[in-house]
Amino acid sequence: MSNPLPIALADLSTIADETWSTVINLPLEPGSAVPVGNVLISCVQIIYPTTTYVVAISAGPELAAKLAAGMLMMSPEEVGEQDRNDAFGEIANILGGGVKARLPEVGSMSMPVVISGTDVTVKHPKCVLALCACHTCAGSPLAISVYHQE
Amino acid sequence: MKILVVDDSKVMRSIIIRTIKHAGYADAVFAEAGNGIEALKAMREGQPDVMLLDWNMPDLNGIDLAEKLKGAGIKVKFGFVTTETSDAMRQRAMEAGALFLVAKPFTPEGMQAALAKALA
Repeated sequence: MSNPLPIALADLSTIADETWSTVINLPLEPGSAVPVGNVLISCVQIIYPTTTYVVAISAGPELAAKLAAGMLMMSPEEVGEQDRNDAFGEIANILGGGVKARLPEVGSMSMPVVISGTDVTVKHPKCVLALCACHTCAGSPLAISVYHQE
Repeated sequence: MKILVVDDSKVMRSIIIRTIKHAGYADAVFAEAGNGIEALKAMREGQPDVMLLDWNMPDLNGIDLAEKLKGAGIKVKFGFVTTETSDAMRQRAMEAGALFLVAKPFTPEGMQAALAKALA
């Protein structure tokens, strides 16, 4: 894993802490594992004329429902798939905005994309993994990653 | 007071409305729209006192809507609630007539300050 970014892992954790404390209403703890098996991934692209960044979050569907429930202040059982994916996309959007604020100004950010499946990963033709912050939330792992075109 | 919240995320619209209520505007009447085109339709059904726009939305995004309204001479108080808040975007927003630009994630205090400025 290379790190050619103008941001560090600590910045990513700061952005995540800010997002969790103001929007999600659940505690976010440091972790050591990335989610595996059936996962949701939400990501945004930050596009520059000569390079691209991808900011992604991955978590299991049950945790994603809990995150949506925290955002909507309802129980996870009440959260439908559409709201879960909408919320998960919005989290990537907010994280992407936080990353973009630490990058040069001229980039433009895409709308979020949410995918799900068994052992799905982010595959961008030109980007490689540059940063990965592992966390635990509500007892389940989640990862926030930044990919960068070298 | 009528507040129109324009964001393509239904979840984010819900969070914005909840935050505005917590910021001291619990008695406001809220209308929602998922993009700029829906916002124009909602405005035809009743002019809001203030409008909160996301920047990135499908079909007609927030800044294009703001510039369209300005071009058509339609006066409405509005600001942006968005994940992106670069100086260039802030300048473009203000040139289009925005009264505030609130960054996501936001707090009730930040929202209160923005709305107080718009509604002063």
